[in-house]
Amino acid sequence: MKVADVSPREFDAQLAGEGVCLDCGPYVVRITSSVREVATGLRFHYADFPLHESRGFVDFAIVVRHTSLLRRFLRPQVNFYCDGKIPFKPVPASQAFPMLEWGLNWVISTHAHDHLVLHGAVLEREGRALILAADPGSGKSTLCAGLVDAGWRLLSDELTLIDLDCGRIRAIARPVSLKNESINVVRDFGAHTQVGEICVGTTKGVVAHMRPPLESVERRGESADPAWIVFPGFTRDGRLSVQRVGKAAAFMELTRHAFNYAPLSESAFEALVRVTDACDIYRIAYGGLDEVVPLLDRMSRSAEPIA
Amino acid sequence: MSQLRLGVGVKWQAWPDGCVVFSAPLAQTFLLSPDCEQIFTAITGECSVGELESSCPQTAGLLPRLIELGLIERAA
Repeated sequence: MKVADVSPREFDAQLAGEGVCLDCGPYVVRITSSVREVATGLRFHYADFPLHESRGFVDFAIVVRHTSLLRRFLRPQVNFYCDGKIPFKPVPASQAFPMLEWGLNWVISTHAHDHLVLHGAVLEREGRALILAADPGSGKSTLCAGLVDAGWRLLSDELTLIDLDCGRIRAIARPVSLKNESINVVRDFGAHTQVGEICVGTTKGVVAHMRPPLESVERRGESADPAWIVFPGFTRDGRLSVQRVGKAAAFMELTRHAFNYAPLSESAFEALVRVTDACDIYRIAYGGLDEVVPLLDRMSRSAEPIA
Repeated sequence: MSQLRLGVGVKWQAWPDGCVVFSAPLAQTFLLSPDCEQIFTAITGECSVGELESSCPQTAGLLPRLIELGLIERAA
Protein backbone atom coordinates (compact mmCIF):
# COMPACT_ATOMS: atom_id res chain seq x y z
CA MET A 1 0.00 0.00 0.00
CA LYS A 2 1.25 3.48 -0.91
CA VAL A 3 0.85 6.74 1.00
CA ALA A 4 -1.56 7.99 -1.68
CA ASP A 5 -3.78 4.94 -1.16
CA VAL A 6 -4.62 6.06 2.37
CA SER A 7 -7.13 8.86 2.97
CA PRO A 8 -5.58 12.08 4.33
CA ARG A 9 -7.52 11.71 7.55
CA GLU A 10 -6.40 8.13 8.07
CA PHE A 11 -2.80 8.97 7.15
CA ASP A 12 -2.64 11.93 9.55
CA ALA A 13 -4.11 9.81 12.36
CA GLN A 14 -1.55 7.05 11.82
CA LEU A 15 1.27 9.62 11.58
CA ALA A 16 0.22 11.18 14.88
CA GLY A 17 -0.34 7.79 16.53
CA GLU A 18 1.95 4.84 15.97
CA GLY A 19 3.75 6.58 13.09
CA VAL A 20 4.11 5.80 9.40
CA CYS A 21 6.93 3.62 8.09
CA LEU A 22 8.26 4.74 4.71
CA ASP A 23 10.31 2.46 2.49
CA CYS A 24 12.97 4.81 1.14
CA GLY A 25 15.02 2.13 -0.61
CA PRO A 26 17.90 0.87 1.49
CA TYR A 27 16.29 2.17 4.67
CA VAL A 28 12.88 2.08 6.31
CA VAL A 29 12.11 5.17 8.37
CA ARG A 30 9.31 5.49 10.91
CA ILE A 31 8.05 9.04 11.24
CA THR A 32 5.72 10.11 14.03
CA SER A 33 4.26 13.59 14.14
CA SER A 34 1.12 15.51 14.87
CA VAL A 35 2.50 18.64 13.19
CA ARG A 36 0.25 19.69 10.31
CA GLU A 37 3.12 20.83 8.05
CA VAL A 38 4.80 17.43 8.35
CA ALA A 39 1.61 15.58 7.43
CA THR A 40 0.95 17.87 4.46
CA GLY A 41 4.53 17.58 3.22
CA LEU A 42 4.64 13.80 3.55
CA ARG A 43 1.30 13.32 1.80
CA PHE A 44 2.47 15.41 -1.17
CA HIS A 45 6.13 14.43 -1.52
CA TYR A 46 5.93 10.79 -0.45
CA ALA A 47 2.58 9.98 -2.12
CA ASP A 48 4.11 7.21 -4.25
CA PHE A 49 6.17 5.61 -1.46
CA PRO A 50 5.13 2.25 -0.05
CA LEU A 51 4.05 2.13 3.57
CA HIS A 52 5.53 -0.61 5.73
CA GLU A 53 3.90 -2.38 8.64
CA SER A 54 4.31 0.12 11.47
CA ARG A 55 5.23 -2.56 14.01
CA GLY A 56 7.94 -3.99 11.77
CA PHE A 57 11.69 -3.33 11.88
CA VAL A 58 12.77 0.20 11.03
CA ASP A 59 16.26 1.58 10.49
CA PHE A 60 15.51 5.01 11.92
CA ALA A 61 12.75 6.25 14.21
CA ILE A 62 12.03 9.95 13.73
CA VAL A 63 9.63 12.13 15.69
CA VAL A 64 8.76 15.76 14.91
CA ARG A 65 6.73 17.39 17.65
CA HIS A 66 5.91 20.80 19.12
CA THR A 67 8.37 21.95 21.73
CA SER A 68 5.62 22.53 24.30
CA LEU A 69 1.86 22.82 24.58
CA LEU A 70 2.17 26.60 24.79
CA ARG A 71 4.42 26.67 21.70
CA ARG A 72 1.75 24.79 19.79
CA PHE A 73 -0.28 28.01 19.73
CA LEU A 74 2.10 30.89 20.45
CA ARG A 75 4.79 31.23 17.76
CA PRO A 76 4.78 27.45 17.38
CA GLN A 77 8.11 25.64 17.26
CA VAL A 78 9.01 22.04 16.60
CA ASN A 79 11.84 19.69 17.53
CA PHE A 80 13.31 16.84 15.50
CA TYR A 81 14.01 13.64 17.43
CA CYS A 82 16.07 10.73 16.16
CA ASP A 83 15.89 7.59 18.30
CA GLY A 84 14.78 9.79 21.19
CA LYS A 85 17.57 12.37 20.92
CA ILE A 86 17.31 16.00 19.74
CA PRO A 87 20.27 16.77 17.47
CA PHE A 88 19.19 20.27 16.38
CA LYS A 89 17.76 23.47 17.77
CA PRO A 90 13.98 23.88 17.35
CA VAL A 91 12.60 25.69 14.30
CA PRO A 92 9.29 27.46 13.62
CA ALA A 93 6.52 24.97 12.86
CA SER A 94 6.18 26.42 9.35
CA GLN A 95 9.65 24.95 8.65
CA ALA A 96 8.80 21.51 9.98
CA PHE A 97 8.89 19.69 6.62
CA PRO A 98 12.27 21.10 5.47
CA MET A 99 13.59 20.28 8.95
CA LEU A 100 12.37 16.71 8.58
CA GLU A 101 14.11 16.39 5.20
CA TRP A 102 17.39 17.91 6.42
CA GLY A 103 17.15 15.83 9.57
CA LEU A 104 16.70 12.65 7.54
CA ASN A 105 19.77 13.54 5.47
CA TRP A 106 21.72 14.05 8.66
CA VAL A 107 20.49 10.80 10.18
CA ILE A 108 21.44 8.77 7.12
CA SER A 109 24.78 10.48 6.53
CA THR A 110 25.87 10.00 10.13
CA HIS A 111 24.54 6.47 10.71
CA ALA A 112 24.53 4.63 7.39
CA HIS A 113 27.97 3.08 7.63
CA ASP A 114 26.95 0.10 5.54
CA HIS A 115 27.60 2.44 2.59
CA LEU A 116 30.21 5.02 1.75
CA VAL A 117 28.12 8.19 1.74
CA LEU A 118 29.12 11.18 -0.38
CA HIS A 119 27.50 14.59 -0.37
CA GLY A 120 26.25 14.48 -3.93
CA ALA A 121 23.28 13.98 -6.18
CA VAL A 122 23.02 10.84 -8.31
CA LEU A 123 21.03 10.24 -11.46
CA GLU A 124 20.79 7.26 -13.75
CA ARG A 125 20.32 6.57 -17.41
CA GLU A 126 20.39 3.06 -18.89
CA GLY A 127 21.91 1.59 -15.77
CA ARG A 128 24.77 4.11 -15.61
CA ALA A 129 25.03 6.60 -12.78
CA LEU A 130 26.06 10.24 -12.91
CA ILE A 131 27.34 11.61 -9.60
CA LEU A 132 27.12 15.39 -9.04
CA ALA A 133 29.51 16.14 -6.19
CA ALA A 134 29.70 19.70 -4.96
CA ASP A 135 29.75 22.09 -2.08
CA PRO A 136 26.52 23.86 -1.08
CA GLY A 137 25.66 26.75 -3.40
CA SER A 138 27.15 25.13 -6.50
CA GLY A 139 23.78 24.54 -8.16
CA LYS A 140 23.88 20.78 -7.62
CA SER A 141 20.21 20.39 -6.71
CA THR A 142 19.09 22.76 -9.47
CA LEU A 143 21.02 20.73 -12.02
CA CYS A 144 19.72 17.51 -10.50
CA ALA A 145 16.13 18.71 -10.83
CA GLY A 146 16.75 19.81 -14.43
CA LEU A 147 18.14 16.38 -15.32
CA VAL A 148 15.21 14.64 -13.66
CA ASP A 149 12.87 16.72 -15.78
CA ALA A 150 14.88 15.70 -18.87
CA GLY A 151 14.20 12.05 -18.09
CA TRP A 152 17.11 10.96 -15.92
CA ARG A 153 16.11 8.70 -13.04
CA LEU A 154 16.63 10.28 -9.63
CA LEU A 155 18.67 8.14 -7.26
CA SER A 156 19.25 10.92 -4.77
CA ASP A 157 19.49 14.68 -4.59
CA GLU A 158 21.79 14.77 -1.60
CA LEU A 159 23.31 11.43 -0.64
CA THR A 160 25.39 9.21 -2.91
CA LEU A 161 25.26 5.77 -1.31
CA ILE A 162 28.12 3.58 -2.55
CA ASP A 163 27.86 -0.13 -1.88
CA LEU A 164 31.07 -1.14 -0.12
CA ASP A 165 31.15 -4.60 -1.67
CA CYS A 166 30.43 -3.94 -5.33
CA GLY A 167 30.84 -0.16 -5.76
CA ARG A 168 27.36 0.23 -7.25
CA ILE A 169 25.24 3.24 -6.31
CA ARG A 170 22.06 2.62 -4.32
CA ALA A 171 18.94 4.68 -4.87
CA ILE A 172 17.26 6.70 -2.14
CA ALA A 173 14.95 8.85 -4.24
CA ARG A 174 13.58 11.36 -1.76
CA PRO A 175 12.43 14.93 -2.53
CA VAL A 176 14.89 17.35 -4.15
CA SER A 177 15.68 20.36 -1.97
CA LEU A 178 15.57 23.69 -3.83
CA LYS A 179 16.65 27.05 -2.47
CA ASN A 180 15.98 30.67 -3.31
CA GLU A 181 16.32 31.49 -7.06
CA SER A 182 16.60 27.83 -7.97
CA ILE A 183 12.93 27.28 -7.14
CA ASN A 184 11.77 29.44 -10.04
CA VAL A 185 14.59 28.26 -12.30
CA VAL A 186 13.43 24.67 -11.88
CA ARG A 187 9.75 25.57 -12.20
CA ASP A 188 10.43 27.51 -15.42
CA PHE A 189 12.60 24.76 -16.87
CA GLY A 190 10.60 21.75 -15.87
CA ALA A 191 7.48 20.77 -17.71
CA HIS A 192 6.93 17.80 -15.40
CA THR A 193 8.21 19.27 -12.17
CA GLN A 194 6.01 19.20 -9.08
CA VAL A 195 7.23 21.61 -6.42
CA GLY A 196 5.62 21.63 -2.99
CA GLU A 197 4.93 24.44 -0.54
CA ILE A 198 7.37 27.31 -0.31
CA CYS A 199 8.90 27.88 3.09
CA VAL A 200 10.46 31.26 3.94
CA GLY A 201 12.84 32.38 6.64
CA THR A 202 14.86 29.19 7.04
CA THR A 203 18.60 29.23 7.74
CA LYS A 204 19.03 28.50 4.02
CA GLY A 205 16.62 31.20 2.91
CA VAL A 206 13.50 30.36 0.91
CA VAL A 207 13.20 26.62 0.34
CA ALA A 208 10.86 24.24 -1.43
CA HIS A 209 11.08 20.58 -2.35
CA MET A 210 10.49 18.88 -5.66
CA ARG A 211 8.49 15.69 -5.50
CA PRO A 212 10.41 12.65 -6.77
CA PRO A 213 8.88 11.25 -9.97
CA LEU A 214 6.84 8.07 -9.77
CA GLU A 215 9.35 6.04 -11.82
CA SER A 216 12.23 7.01 -9.51
CA VAL A 217 10.23 5.92 -6.48
CA GLU A 218 9.08 2.66 -8.07
CA ARG A 219 12.63 1.76 -9.13
CA ARG A 220 14.25 2.73 -5.81
CA GLY A 221 15.45 -0.87 -5.40
CA GLU A 222 17.56 -0.68 -8.57
CA SER A 223 21.17 0.34 -8.13
CA ALA A 224 23.37 1.68 -10.94
CA ASP A 225 26.98 1.41 -12.08
CA PRO A 226 29.01 4.58 -11.60
CA ALA A 227 29.90 6.01 -15.02
CA TRP A 228 30.42 9.76 -14.67
CA ILE A 229 31.38 12.19 -11.93
CA VAL A 230 30.71 15.89 -12.45
CA PHE A 231 31.82 18.68 -10.14
CA PRO A 232 29.27 21.34 -11.12
CA GLY A 233 29.63 25.04 -10.48
CA PHE A 234 26.95 27.60 -11.23
CA THR A 235 28.35 30.88 -12.57
CA ARG A 236 26.35 34.05 -13.00
CA ASP A 237 28.22 35.03 -16.16
CA GLY A 238 26.51 32.15 -17.87
CA ARG A 239 29.52 30.67 -19.64
CA LEU A 240 29.46 26.93 -20.13
CA SER A 241 32.87 25.32 -19.72
CA VAL A 242 33.93 21.71 -19.39
CA GLN A 243 37.26 20.44 -18.12
CA ARG A 244 38.38 16.86 -17.73
CA VAL A 245 39.60 16.11 -14.17
CA GLY A 246 42.39 13.64 -13.40
CA LYS A 247 41.31 10.64 -11.36
CA ALA A 248 43.80 11.11 -8.54
CA ALA A 249 42.78 14.75 -8.09
CA ALA A 250 39.10 13.77 -8.30
CA PHE A 251 39.62 11.02 -5.73
CA MET A 252 41.04 13.50 -3.24
CA GLU A 253 38.19 15.91 -3.90
CA LEU A 254 35.64 13.14 -3.38
CA THR A 255 37.16 12.23 0.01
CA ARG A 256 36.30 15.79 1.03
CA HIS A 257 32.67 15.21 0.02
CA ALA A 258 32.45 11.91 1.91
CA PHE A 259 30.59 11.87 5.22
CA ASN A 260 32.09 8.63 6.53
CA TYR A 261 35.38 8.08 4.69
CA ALA A 262 37.43 8.18 7.90
CA PRO A 263 35.39 5.71 9.99
CA LEU A 264 35.09 3.24 7.12
CA SER A 265 38.87 3.34 6.63
CA GLU A 266 40.23 0.80 4.09
CA SER A 267 36.82 -0.26 2.80
CA ALA A 268 36.02 3.37 1.96
CA PHE A 269 39.32 3.76 0.14
CA GLU A 270 38.68 0.64 -1.91
CA ALA A 271 35.09 1.58 -2.74
CA LEU A 272 36.08 5.09 -3.77
CA VAL A 273 38.95 3.79 -5.92
CA ARG A 274 36.48 1.50 -7.69
CA VAL A 275 34.05 4.36 -8.33
CA THR A 276 36.73 6.82 -9.45
CA ASP A 277 38.33 4.26 -11.73
CA ALA A 278 35.02 3.48 -13.43
CA CYS A 279 34.06 7.08 -14.21
CA ASP A 280 34.76 9.81 -16.72
CA ILE A 281 35.23 12.90 -14.58
CA TYR A 282 34.54 16.53 -15.44
CA ARG A 283 34.34 19.94 -13.87
CA ILE A 284 31.51 21.87 -15.48
CA ALA A 285 30.77 25.56 -14.99
CA TYR A 286 27.33 26.58 -16.18
CA GLY A 287 25.03 29.54 -16.11
CA GLY A 288 21.74 27.94 -17.08
CA LEU A 289 20.03 24.59 -17.38
CA ASP A 290 19.31 25.15 -21.09
CA GLU A 291 22.94 24.45 -22.00
CA VAL A 292 24.16 22.04 -19.38
CA VAL A 293 21.26 19.57 -19.43
CA PRO A 294 21.60 18.89 -23.21
CA LEU A 295 25.37 18.57 -22.73
CA LEU A 296 24.94 15.89 -20.08
CA ASP A 297 22.28 14.21 -22.23
CA ARG A 298 24.82 14.00 -25.07
CA MET A 299 27.43 12.67 -22.65
CA SER A 300 25.10 9.86 -21.59
CA ARG A 301 24.42 8.82 -25.18
CA SER A 302 27.97 8.98 -26.51
CA ALA A 303 30.91 6.67 -25.99
CA GLU A 304 33.24 9.64 -26.53
CA PRO A 305 34.33 11.92 -23.69
CA ILE A 306 32.86 15.43 -23.77
CA ALA A 307 36.24 17.09 -23.04
CA MET B 1 67.56 -1.61 0.06
CA SER B 2 65.84 -4.45 -1.78
CA GLN B 3 64.14 -5.73 1.41
CA LEU B 4 61.15 -3.43 1.35
CA ARG B 5 57.45 -4.07 1.66
CA LEU B 6 54.19 -2.15 1.77
CA GLY B 7 53.46 -0.68 5.20
CA VAL B 8 50.85 -2.35 7.38
CA GLY B 9 47.36 -1.07 6.53
CA VAL B 10 48.56 0.73 3.41
CA LYS B 11 46.67 0.62 0.10
CA TRP B 12 47.54 2.44 -3.08
CA GLN B 13 46.16 3.24 -6.49
CA ALA B 14 47.96 4.99 -9.30
CA TRP B 15 46.47 7.04 -12.10
CA PRO B 16 48.24 9.17 -14.72
CA ASP B 17 47.82 12.35 -12.67
CA GLY B 18 48.93 10.93 -9.34
CA CYS B 19 49.12 8.10 -6.90
CA VAL B 20 46.70 7.98 -3.96
CA VAL B 21 47.92 6.12 -0.91
CA PHE B 22 45.83 5.28 2.13
CA SER B 23 47.36 4.54 5.50
CA ALA B 24 45.03 2.97 8.05
CA PRO B 25 47.42 3.56 10.99
CA LEU B 26 47.69 7.24 10.13
CA ALA B 27 44.00 7.42 9.10
CA GLN B 28 45.17 9.56 6.22
CA THR B 29 45.14 9.57 2.43
CA PHE B 30 48.05 11.04 0.51
CA LEU B 31 48.17 12.34 -3.02
CA LEU B 32 51.66 11.58 -4.30
CA SER B 33 53.48 12.15 -7.55
CA PRO B 34 52.68 9.69 -10.37
CA ASP B 35 56.32 8.51 -10.12
CA CYS B 36 55.48 6.75 -6.88
CA GLU B 37 53.70 4.06 -8.89
CA GLN B 38 57.11 2.74 -9.94
CA ILE B 39 58.16 2.43 -6.31
CA PHE B 40 55.00 0.61 -5.23
CA THR B 41 55.22 -1.64 -8.27
CA ALA B 42 58.84 -2.39 -7.47
CA ILE B 43 58.19 -3.39 -3.87
CA THR B 44 55.26 -5.59 -4.82
CA GLY B 45 57.63 -7.51 -7.03
CA GLU B 46 56.86 -6.61 -10.61
CA CYS B 47 60.29 -5.01 -10.78
CA SER B 48 62.98 -4.99 -8.15
CA VAL B 49 64.02 -1.98 -6.11
CA GLY B 50 67.50 -2.51 -7.55
CA GLU B 51 66.17 -2.19 -11.07
CA LEU B 52 64.27 0.91 -10.06
CA GLU B 53 67.37 2.48 -8.53
CA SER B 54 69.42 1.89 -11.63
CA SER B 55 66.79 2.88 -14.18
CA CYS B 56 65.05 5.72 -12.31
CA PRO B 57 67.36 7.07 -9.60
CA GLN B 58 65.26 10.21 -9.20
CA THR B 59 62.10 8.21 -8.51
CA ALA B 60 63.97 5.95 -6.11
CA GLY B 61 64.98 9.11 -4.28
CA LEU B 62 61.39 9.38 -3.06
CA LEU B 63 61.79 6.18 -1.05
CA PRO B 64 63.18 7.68 2.16
CA ARG B 65 60.16 9.96 2.54
CA LEU B 66 57.75 7.06 1.96
CA ILE B 67 59.61 5.01 4.56
CA GLU B 68 59.51 7.94 6.98
CA LEU B 69 55.72 8.13 6.59
CA GLY B 70 55.41 4.38 7.15
CA LEU B 71 53.90 3.84 3.73
CA ILE B 72 56.78 1.53 2.95
CA GLU B 73 58.64 -0.52 5.56
CA ARG B 74 61.98 -2.19 5.68
CA ALA B 75 61.52 -5.92 6.07
CA ALA B 76 63.15 -7.34 9.22
